[in-house]
Amino acid sequence: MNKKDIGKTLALLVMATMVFAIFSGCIGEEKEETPAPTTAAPTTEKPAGPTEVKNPDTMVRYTIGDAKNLDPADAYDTASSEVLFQVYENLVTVKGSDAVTIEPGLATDWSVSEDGLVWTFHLRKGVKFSNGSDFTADDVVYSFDRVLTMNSPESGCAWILSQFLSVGDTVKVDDYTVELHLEKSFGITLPCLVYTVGAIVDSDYVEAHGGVQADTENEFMKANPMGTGPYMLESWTRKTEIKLVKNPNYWGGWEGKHVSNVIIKIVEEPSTRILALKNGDADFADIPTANIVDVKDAPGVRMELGPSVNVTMLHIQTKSENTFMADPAVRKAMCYCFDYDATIKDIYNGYAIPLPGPIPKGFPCYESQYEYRYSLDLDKAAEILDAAGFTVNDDGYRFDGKPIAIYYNAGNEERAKMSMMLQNNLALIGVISQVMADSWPSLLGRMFGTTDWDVMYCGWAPDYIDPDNYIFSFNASADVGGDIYNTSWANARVDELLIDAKFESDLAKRCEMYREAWEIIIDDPSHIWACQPQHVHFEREWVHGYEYNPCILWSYYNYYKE
Amino acid sequence: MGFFDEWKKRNESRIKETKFTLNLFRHSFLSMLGLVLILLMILTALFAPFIATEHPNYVTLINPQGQRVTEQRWEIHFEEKLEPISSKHLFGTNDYGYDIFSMIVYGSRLSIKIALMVVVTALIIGVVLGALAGYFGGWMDEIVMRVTDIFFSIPGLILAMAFTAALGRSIEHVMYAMIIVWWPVYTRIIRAQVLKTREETYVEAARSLGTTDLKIIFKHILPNSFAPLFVQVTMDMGAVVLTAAGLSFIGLGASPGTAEWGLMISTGRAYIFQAWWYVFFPGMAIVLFVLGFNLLGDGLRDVLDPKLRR
Amino acid sequence: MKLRNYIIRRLALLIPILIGVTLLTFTISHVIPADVARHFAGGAKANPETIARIREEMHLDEPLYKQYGYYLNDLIHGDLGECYTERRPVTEAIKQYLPATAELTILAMVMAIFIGIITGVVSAVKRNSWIDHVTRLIAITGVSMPIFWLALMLQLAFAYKYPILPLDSRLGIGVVAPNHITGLYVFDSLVTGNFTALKSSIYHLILPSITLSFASLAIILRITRSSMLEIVRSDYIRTARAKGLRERTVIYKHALRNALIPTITVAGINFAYLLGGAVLTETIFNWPGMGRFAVAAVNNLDFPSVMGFTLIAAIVMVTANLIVDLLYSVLDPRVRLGD
Repeated sequence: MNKKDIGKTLALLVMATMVFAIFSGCIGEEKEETPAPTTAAPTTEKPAGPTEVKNPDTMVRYTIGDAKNLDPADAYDTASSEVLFQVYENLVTVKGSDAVTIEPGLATDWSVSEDGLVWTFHLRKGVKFSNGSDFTADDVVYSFDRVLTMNSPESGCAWILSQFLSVGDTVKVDDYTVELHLEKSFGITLPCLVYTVGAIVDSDYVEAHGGVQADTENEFMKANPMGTGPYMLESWTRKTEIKLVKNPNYWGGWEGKHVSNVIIKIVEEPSTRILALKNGDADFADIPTANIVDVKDAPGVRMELGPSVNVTMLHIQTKSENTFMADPAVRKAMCYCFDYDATIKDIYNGYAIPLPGPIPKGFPCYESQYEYRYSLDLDKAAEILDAAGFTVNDDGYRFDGKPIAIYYNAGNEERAKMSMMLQNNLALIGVISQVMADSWPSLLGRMFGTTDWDVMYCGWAPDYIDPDNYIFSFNASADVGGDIYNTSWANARVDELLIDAKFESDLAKRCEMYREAWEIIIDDPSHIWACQPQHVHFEREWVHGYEYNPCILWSYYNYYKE
Repeated sequence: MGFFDEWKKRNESRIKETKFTLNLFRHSFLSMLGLVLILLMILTALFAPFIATEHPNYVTLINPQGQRVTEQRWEIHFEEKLEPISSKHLFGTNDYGYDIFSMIVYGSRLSIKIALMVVVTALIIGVVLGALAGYFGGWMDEIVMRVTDIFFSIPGLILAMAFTAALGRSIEHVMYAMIIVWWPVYTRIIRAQVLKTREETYVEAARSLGTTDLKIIFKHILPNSFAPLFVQVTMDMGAVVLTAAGLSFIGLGASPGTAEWGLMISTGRAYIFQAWWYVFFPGMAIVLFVLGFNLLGDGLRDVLDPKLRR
Repeated sequence: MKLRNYIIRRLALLIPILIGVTLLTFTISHVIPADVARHFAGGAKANPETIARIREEMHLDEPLYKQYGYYLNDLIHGDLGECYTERRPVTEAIKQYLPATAELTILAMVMAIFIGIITGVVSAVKRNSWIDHVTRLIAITGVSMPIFWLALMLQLAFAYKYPILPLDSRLGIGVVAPNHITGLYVFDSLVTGNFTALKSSIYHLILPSITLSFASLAIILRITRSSMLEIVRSDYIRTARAKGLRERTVIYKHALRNALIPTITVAGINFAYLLGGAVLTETIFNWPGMGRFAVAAVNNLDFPSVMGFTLIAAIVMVTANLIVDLLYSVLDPRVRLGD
């Protein structure tokens, strides 16, 4: 090589060394920062983080998804309900970490008639909406009838009220008394009223902006919430941030420790949220399970662990194009192919507990599901399939090589892993499967519009705190308003039991019914009950007042910083 | 004996030119480096089963659309997930416990396959359309030009994104989308060349001798039009892989579990603070792959440029 | 032909191209995908009445050419449909996101052109020195790197390991956006005298614009260098030198001006790459622009949005090409005369 080439080689080497130096420097220190996994309790000694509180009068939360619809009559996602619970209020609510005890909200007290058909609510006096108008019984009547008339065209949340209420059932007795006239006694009326669908809107405000039309959404209300709650919407920049500011007319007053502003920032990037939490730009941040280890020992950050009532499960299409799915033996075998331990340990990194059936721990009647019927047992799975006549053919495959189609929503790493793990295990007993990631809308379209899928996922968070919200939605048949995830599974006895339990007021009787239902369900499974993820919460150490409530996840009015 | 000597004599100048070109090329350091890198990639792809330490299984099945597909399946080892570089795992492991080095090695096969398929198909389409447009002119030329104009007015990645979204998420659809994005480039190049060559005297001569149009195109015009194509094709091999990686990164291409470099960076992003190797090595693989083709293309361009030759 | 006629001719050509683009976007979103109505009906708990109503609203059961007609009609009235993911008109979404992308892309283009040309000239003038080798190496590596990987590495290096630059977004927390004039934060904050916002927005622009401009910079560098090298050896430069002009005049007044012509062409062609790169850059840096919107749209099969941003990208490209062509014809009279 001549001089020219030597020059070039040198330049190349210089460049490569520089890049590597930056990199390994980067790496070296990084590795020291990420600590080895400890088995000690989370309260280990940590170096103190920056102690000066950032943005003392503003709570900043970094979250992953944008709100979809700020009209409480048509909102059914957690991001929207987070905002709605700050801006609107309901007749009744829950407080602190107790999701079961019903507390007064806009109603100060209530009673129900002997036959359970008439509920009477006495309303709080002197409450004003944030625009100054008065809260009266007219608003309650208007709000409930509005939900039922509109019938939530976009989200379908109206069923929570329409399952026990019809238009006209809400009656004004006087300016501060309202009655609900039910057709059938409904024990879970109060929990259902806690959800955002029962929020009270100002009748004058809505009338001035489009009013109510059957089966139609109100464009104005979608983006302009106005309620009696402690905060008002200041601005909503899509996909970027939602800003809330304090409502000076709030009946609860602003004495004591509160923050005047709330900023919810939408950041899809986990690394950004992690960094924001670490340097104090974020007071709260959504951290994916995979990244908990990145943050849990960071200075200035507090981690809270606790049981949640969210459940993760796979559901199976019993009437799929693969006709063998109709056979309970096949579905039982699949339940034996799922590695429940690895799911909790490796996929959820230990931040989950096992799930015996549809009712999560923390709910009444959880004990009706009295044992864990399934565990990873490939031999048993093979045995069951052989006994049912689905034997291995000459190529080593069952079902003649027809693949089982497993779908999950692209981007959800936990579901990706569960799918791949299931695929692996199924392959070991000769069952072929295909794992496909799809976009969320495409997935929903497939789930509800077709039966050409075999396995999909549901993750469920409570609409109202009652086992009925879970077991009825999953295991009652579509004919009676259940089977919300379209498994096409139906059992007449289970339907009977679940409907009776829905309207039964005696808890012990309900638990008995649920136990009998569970025994049938678990023997003819349409779901693989994967796990119950724990609630992992991250906040800065200067945040106080936060309590986890599975029903109302965020109550910024109660939080303060110092 | 006789035939070969005759052929040599007839093509004497062509052979001399080629020899000269190759010689020039050999003395260009960067081009040789590019060639080395490309050879490295090709060899890795060819001998993947011998180089990699872990190997995937292949399962053939009928997918929901009724097509026969073969899928790559790696063995899950959750107990080994996200391990750093070690003697057992040269580049560490990912969140499923797969050996990243092996994934990168097998990924080279996929990358080369994508690059070849897209470039060759787009080239064929482009050459046919470009030759027809350039030679026959008239309304055929106008139509082809307008259509290529339309395609050129939408940025490549964006057009590919839109098509893949419409067709559905899979590597095959990504390839179709990229073919759709790339064919106009070759059409334009060939057309320009054909326009130039068809006015040459030797073509006039051939025409006056009564040679058919088809023969003229294939025997006289096309062979002289290939020079600028060489450079373009070489550079495009790299560009296609970059675009495919970008599409996989967004979430449109390879299905999860496949060893595709762009997809690995995409999944690795979540673990970037815990396991930098998950993002770094697939990225370096892409860089080396594309760099090789770019260096080669560069070298070719310098070497084939008549002004710089002598 | 005269410049004016050339301009008119070029503008007239725009129309069939744009119509062709609408045909393309229409095909992509109406002909290919499966059940569009269901997506709009909310997929999840969609009742059949809503689906039927939407099918009617969107004219989905009518013949294709009629649907195309409705589509064009809507376009002329500025209606790009409703964005499925955000439940608001696509035009509104685009109005919100376009300035962010514009700011980033313009800055990246300016950086690529200026730094590219300057380094290209220096590299050509100091041919074969170590500066030349290093810049050429950086240049060729620049085009070989996946832009999202470069973004991640830069983030790791300068926002995490040595946290001197912000990780992402357009502004720091608590920094209020300047009053909206153009939507370009640097411009708006300068004009309204909002110096906190000015400082914050500049800071936040650094990493994304470096990432986005890198590949284009590399290309412009190489083209400038090679065309400078070519011209420097040409006859009229030799004449200029022989005339005794100072080297600096020779380079800047004569050589560079002519070297710029291919540079402009390349810059124009490269603009497409810049727009595509914006998609990837915005994703990593959480930049609230068209690119991020596009990725969300594509992942959610939000076809009105997909059509919308494709159309906008085409309009921008066509405008950019037009400007380049006009510039080119102004600089090089041979172009329009030969037409």
